[in-house]
Amino acid sequence: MIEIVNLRHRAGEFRLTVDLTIAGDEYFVLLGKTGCGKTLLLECLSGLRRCDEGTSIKINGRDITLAEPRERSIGYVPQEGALFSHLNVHENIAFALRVAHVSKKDIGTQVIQIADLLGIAHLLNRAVKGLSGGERQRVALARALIRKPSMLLLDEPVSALDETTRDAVCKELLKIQREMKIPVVHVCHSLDEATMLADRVAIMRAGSIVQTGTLDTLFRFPRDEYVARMMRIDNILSGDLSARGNLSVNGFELSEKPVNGSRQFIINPHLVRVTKSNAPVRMGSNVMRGTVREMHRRGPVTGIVVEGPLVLTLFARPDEIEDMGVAKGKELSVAFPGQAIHMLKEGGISPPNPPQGDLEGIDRENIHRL
Amino acid sequence: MSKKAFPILFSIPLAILTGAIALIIVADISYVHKSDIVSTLLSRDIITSMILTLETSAITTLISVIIAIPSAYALSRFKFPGAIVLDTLIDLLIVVPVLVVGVSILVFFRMGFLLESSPFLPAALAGKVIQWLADVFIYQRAGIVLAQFFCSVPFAVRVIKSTFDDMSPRTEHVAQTLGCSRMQAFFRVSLPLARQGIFAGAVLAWARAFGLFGPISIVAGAVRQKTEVLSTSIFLEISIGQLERGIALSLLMVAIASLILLALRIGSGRTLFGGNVQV
Amino acid sequence: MRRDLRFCFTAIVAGSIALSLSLGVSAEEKKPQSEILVHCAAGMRKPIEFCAKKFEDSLGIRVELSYDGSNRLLGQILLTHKGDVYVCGDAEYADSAKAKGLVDKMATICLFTPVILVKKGNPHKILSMTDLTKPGLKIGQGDEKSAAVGKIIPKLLSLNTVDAGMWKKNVVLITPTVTELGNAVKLGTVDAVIVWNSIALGYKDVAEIVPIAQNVTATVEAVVLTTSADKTAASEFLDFLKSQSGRKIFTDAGYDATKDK
Repeated sequence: MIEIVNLRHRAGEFRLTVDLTIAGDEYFVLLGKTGCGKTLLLECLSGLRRCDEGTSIKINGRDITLAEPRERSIGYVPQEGALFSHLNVHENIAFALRVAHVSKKDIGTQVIQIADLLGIAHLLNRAVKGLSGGERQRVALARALIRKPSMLLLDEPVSALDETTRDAVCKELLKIQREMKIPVVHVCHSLDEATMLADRVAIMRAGSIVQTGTLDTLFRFPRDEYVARMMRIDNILSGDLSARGNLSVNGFELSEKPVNGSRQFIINPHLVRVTKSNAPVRMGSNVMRGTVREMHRRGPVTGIVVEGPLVLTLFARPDEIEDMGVAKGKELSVAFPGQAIHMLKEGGISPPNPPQGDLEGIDRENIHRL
Repeated sequence: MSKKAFPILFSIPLAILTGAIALIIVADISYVHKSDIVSTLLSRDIITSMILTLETSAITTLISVIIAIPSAYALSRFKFPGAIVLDTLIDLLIVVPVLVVGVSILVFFRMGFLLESSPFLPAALAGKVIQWLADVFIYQRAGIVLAQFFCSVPFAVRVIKSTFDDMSPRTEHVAQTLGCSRMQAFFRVSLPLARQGIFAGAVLAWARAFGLFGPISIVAGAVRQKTEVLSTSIFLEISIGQLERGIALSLLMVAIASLILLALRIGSGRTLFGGNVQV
Repeated sequence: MRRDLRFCFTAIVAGSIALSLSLGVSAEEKKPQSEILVHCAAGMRKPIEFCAKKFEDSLGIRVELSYDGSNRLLGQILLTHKGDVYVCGDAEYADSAKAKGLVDKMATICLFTPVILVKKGNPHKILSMTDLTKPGLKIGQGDEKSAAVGKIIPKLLSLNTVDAGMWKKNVVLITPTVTELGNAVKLGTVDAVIVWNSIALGYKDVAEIVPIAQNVTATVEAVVLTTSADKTAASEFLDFLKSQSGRKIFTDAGYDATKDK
């Protein structure tokens, strides 16, 4: 288990403030745009940068806040692998063992073991120059894992790879994490990677963590607009109050009331459905009549954008679309349940370190998994 | 511009440059008489001078590189206020005329004599130390190395520093997470990766030391058979009007330098006829 | 890989130790009873070299010779305060050294006379200093401030009633030491130079000497320095230079070492 309490670090004008707890067998993804401090955080965790007073970092109960990088038992794979170009693949992987003066025989065995695990045993005698992107990353991983560290830190490990390779490497990352049973902190800016790998995700912005939770939680109950956009939620709306005190957009009244003075909310697109009902629409019933403005493929499903008093996106499979006869320009009705509506906290940057578990009662996830 | 025009255009300045150098060498060769070359090259004085030149330039290169590597690393990696000042100080050694370097060294040693008679005890002690150093270097062979060193080391630092500048610190970081202390990371990763740059710096430093004259004659004197290096020999021959012998010696230096530079280049992996051999 | 590095490292260290030792050893092996350091003006090299050898052979005192221009040598001596004998190409330097308290003993060891040196065949038919003021000629002379052979120029001009203005017009080369002037004639960059007769003799294959009608004499002084660590040996060298054998060497080399001082 990794306990990060009050980690603070200043780099010029930039401030890093993080509190995080990661379970011992968790694949944890840190999602954030470039410049949000993800790499800085990894460098602080690995001991390459010294944190400010008051920071506490513990791995499995052992306090490593002031420890040197080599004492922390951490595997670190920086962006682009940073392989040692003066050594071949075998020597790269064996590096940590040689520093620890492990016997040559043992080195040989262990290198082959980890190379097999990562499927790179056939590359052992190759020079680093001339390896493909995927091969380089695998070598970097093998190198980081050979001493069986207590934690694996990955900085955008697959960002530079083409999609097929990326998928393959991600599969392997998951496999390794499950087999070696170590916590992984994987930093990236791609929601797809998070979707493929994460047990839990933290959204990071300007040096602090905005929200933490499973992907499902973050998708259904994003904290604010920033998180909603990171999760690629389509229906982010802003409304007023109706006469009855409900949320209302362009005169269209919804069934829910705003919470805590915020007028921003999302409507979960996965809960929006096309209805066949032709009955007149009641106000506050969450049924809207509109025209199909456009349709776009999103992987296995198609997104339908319906324009009425609100602009709503919903998803349907191609066969469903055919059945319903949905096409561009067609008029139809869509409906959604009240629980599809989720209020967002207004105001861009959230205060640092929102205490986990206390997100105005909306957060329903239990963070401390042991 | 036709396809061939670009390489031709860029080859012209190169041709002019190398052509001029070749022409000067050819002119030198045609100026000397065969008899001059033989008599000059076989004289005992010259052989001693040549061996001394090779020895001192080699030692200077070694010392320069040993000092330049950590200095360049510190300048490149450590961020501290005043780094720019230190950088400039080293560049000053290149900018300032070599003669001034030589004279300044003598002036420094003179200070030792003046300090020695100071009533202030630490100053007097420092003076004594400097005096002792003066006896070690002035008009002695060690003085040759001293003068060569101050003129060679800034080049080595420049080249090696830019090598470290181009090296991403990430590789050193990874080495640290894999169990290295900073020192170990330096020796196991940074140094091997900087191989090429260090070698280039060493070649430059050697070339400088080999061809240096002014400050050597000032600090170590131009003492026949003792502190006479090849450049000094050339000076002495020309100073009595023996231009032919002077030129013959210059050609000797050109020949030795060509051999060594070519050997070093091939040794570092480039073949004689173009192209790179992977080492 | 590390094994290679280690090997290289050891090789380099061993090599450098060997080199340093050889440097030190070759300097050490010739340490006889005593030795003196003679700072010698470059122009006096030939005769002094012979004298030094003879002196070494007969008295067993090793002579180390350091050559440079007279003024640079003086500067060095001032800074290093090392050296036993100073042979300078003009009495003026000796006087300067005296003024700076560096002179223990002084003696004139030979005389210099300035001459005109022209290219062999004397294509411009130069027969006197006045001839050198012919327009279009290129003259080289020593620097009147720093070269002994330059300092005498004004006197020569006035003695031989040469128009100083016209002379200056033809001067294209001014050198800090005398030796570069001879080379200039040899290489053909000038038509004529004013150098010492002894220097001129070294160029007799490629140049001609034209005597100067009204002439001056410069004395070459040898000085025992106060910075000398072995004044006895230094004085003995000085005596040798003044002696019969010394004078013979000078004369053989074409330097004027007549008895009068």
